[in-house]
Amino acid sequence: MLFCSIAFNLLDSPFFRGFIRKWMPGIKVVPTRHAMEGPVLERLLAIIVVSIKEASSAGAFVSLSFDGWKSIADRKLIGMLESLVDISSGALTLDFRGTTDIPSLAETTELVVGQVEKELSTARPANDYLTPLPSGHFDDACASVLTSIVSDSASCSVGAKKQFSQKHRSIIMVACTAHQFNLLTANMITHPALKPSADKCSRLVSLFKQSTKYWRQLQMCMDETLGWRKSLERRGETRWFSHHAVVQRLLELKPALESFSNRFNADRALQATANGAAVIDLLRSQSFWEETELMARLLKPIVIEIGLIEKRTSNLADVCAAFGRLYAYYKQLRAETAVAPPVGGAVSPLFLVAADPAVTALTHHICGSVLGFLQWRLSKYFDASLLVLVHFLDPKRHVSGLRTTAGSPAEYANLMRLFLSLAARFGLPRAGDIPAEKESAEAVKSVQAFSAYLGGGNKDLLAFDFPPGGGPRIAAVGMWQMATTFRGTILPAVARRLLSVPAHAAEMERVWSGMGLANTPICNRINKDRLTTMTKVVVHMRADAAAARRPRMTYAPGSLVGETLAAAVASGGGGERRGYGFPPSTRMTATSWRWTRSMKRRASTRRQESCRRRWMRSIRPWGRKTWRPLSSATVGRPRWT
Amino acid sequence: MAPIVLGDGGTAEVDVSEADGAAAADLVRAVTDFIRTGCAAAHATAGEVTSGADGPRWTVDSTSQLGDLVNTEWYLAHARVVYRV
Repeated sequence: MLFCSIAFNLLDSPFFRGFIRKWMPGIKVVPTRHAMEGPVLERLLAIIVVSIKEASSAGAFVSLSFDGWKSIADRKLIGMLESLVDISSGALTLDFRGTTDIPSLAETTELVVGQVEKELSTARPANDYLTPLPSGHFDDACASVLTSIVSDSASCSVGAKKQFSQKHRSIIMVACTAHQFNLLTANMITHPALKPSADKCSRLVSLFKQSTKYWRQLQMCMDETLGWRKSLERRGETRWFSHHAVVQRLLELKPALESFSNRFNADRALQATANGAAVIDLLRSQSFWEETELMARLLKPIVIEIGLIEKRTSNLADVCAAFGRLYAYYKQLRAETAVAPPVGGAVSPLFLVAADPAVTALTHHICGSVLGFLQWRLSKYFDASLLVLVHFLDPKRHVSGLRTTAGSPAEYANLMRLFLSLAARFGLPRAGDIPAEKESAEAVKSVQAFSAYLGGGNKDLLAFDFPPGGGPRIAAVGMWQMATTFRGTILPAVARRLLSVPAHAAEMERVWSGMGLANTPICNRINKDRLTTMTKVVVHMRADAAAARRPRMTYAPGSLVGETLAAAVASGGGGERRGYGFPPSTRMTATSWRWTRSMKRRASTRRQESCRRRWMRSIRPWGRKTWRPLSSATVGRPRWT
Repeated sequence: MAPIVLGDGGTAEVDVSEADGAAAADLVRAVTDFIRTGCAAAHATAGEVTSGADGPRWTVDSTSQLGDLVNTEWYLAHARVVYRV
């Protein structure tokens, strides 16, 4: 009832109660509407509160995120959410703190600051978490400490974070990377060179969304040419994947759309509509399809990065890696489209150069702009020194992918200086912890530990990289906790605190998504407190469901899959027996085994999909067996009888 | 070896491979002060890494260029796998 927008008063319906009794034969009491919104909801909430309390009392690094939302009844809400990363294991727990109604107030910096202060003042007496001391160290009165504040880049949020950074120097302010990359896609499609193509796609989608007649005709074309049906996607400025989804779906439906254009090329009714003639011209234009394909290819890396970043366990190290990959990809693409690629080159090009020189030039031009936007977003919204350091402190990444040559920012001496600065910012070690006569010895130990880590000390930590399971977890935090190599120095404390900082505020968007499920046009008078309680339960149930789900086995950066495949290729195959390119002599690491299993599952899925399509073709849509062949007389009318 | 200019104006030679050797004595002193005293106020972007031989080197700050931060070849190989291109 919480997820499906079913009103609670349905529980008073005798038919529904009968259905519940049949559906769940063991159920003793079916709650009434009033019991559901009262005791049942309160009991669920109490369970959640207890589990959150356990997480915070065990000690956690807390990140606060906030965002605004407008309900279906045009009520403005501002919400607060905290992410708790367990200090020892890195296990992640979410706590939706609640919402505040701001019906007639403008969203200003002062308003946001006031709301965050209110949230901090609520957390303090409950001993949920505390802000760090002015020195940067934890307050011993509470086991959990606020380490970061994450939000989107709305001006009021940025202003609020600036004020807090002046007040609490050791709290790290983070811009939501998923929002930033979404804005990057918007930068790309509003580029003067691509905007006309994006507008054409929107016009095409609008025609089929507005006309049920032609949408039905297109569905018939899909049945004939593709054997399946899919709906067209619409662009939404705040929907993260919609820009790419629009063009990708058009490309998937290209055969059906071309079939439609061929069939209705001379259709007078279509030509008479506002966009009909223009849409037919577009569908028959080669340049339109080339530009659409170009848009899809250019947007794809950013969409993939948004998908990686918005994972619950992503942190600032992932942000650095995402910037690195995007920069390398677009730089290479720009270089390849500047001149014709060398024939017989050792490195295959990333992108096939189009036959039309205009598309190649367009790609080159847009890649240059994307690189500029990428650099601008890094400079304006992110602290490069933090990103470099957290990349380095992540044992799985270390210095791989960073430039460590003399004069580079990730030069060892510079990393040392950045680390010491951050340790000082975090107040480590705490004044008075170390006797004055031992300070030099402690400093030596810290420097030695950092030197050892620089020299490949991450391998000691990687031994504690256990497979995921039992809920989301930031593995790097657990590794730093369990490894004994650097214990007794400030290195693990700095690393764990920095690695616990999330990369995004996507959780807050998920909260609004959950709230939107309950707050629909038919349930628009539900009061704010109940809506918030229901959403808290939904967030928690979703997290539980995600924890219970089997982890997806995907390629993990730093695994040996690449080397294994290279070895297979170098040995001239030999893995045909297994069918996945692995020679029998190749060492199967845990990761490559997981990858193999993933490939097997994909192959199985492909087989199932193939069977399903054959079955669909055999039975015809709607299960009817009678078939009337297409003729000119049937065009424009339903063909299935 | 690169002299590090710390927040208190002092410098220290850093060679991570010999940090526990005699050459690290100055560094240890500077680091001790750095941790204990008001140098804690120095932000990561406030310092400057210099080299005695070839003049000032730039450090990581908010104007850092992506091309200088990341190893393009390494991340290009990574991007090929992640983006499947």
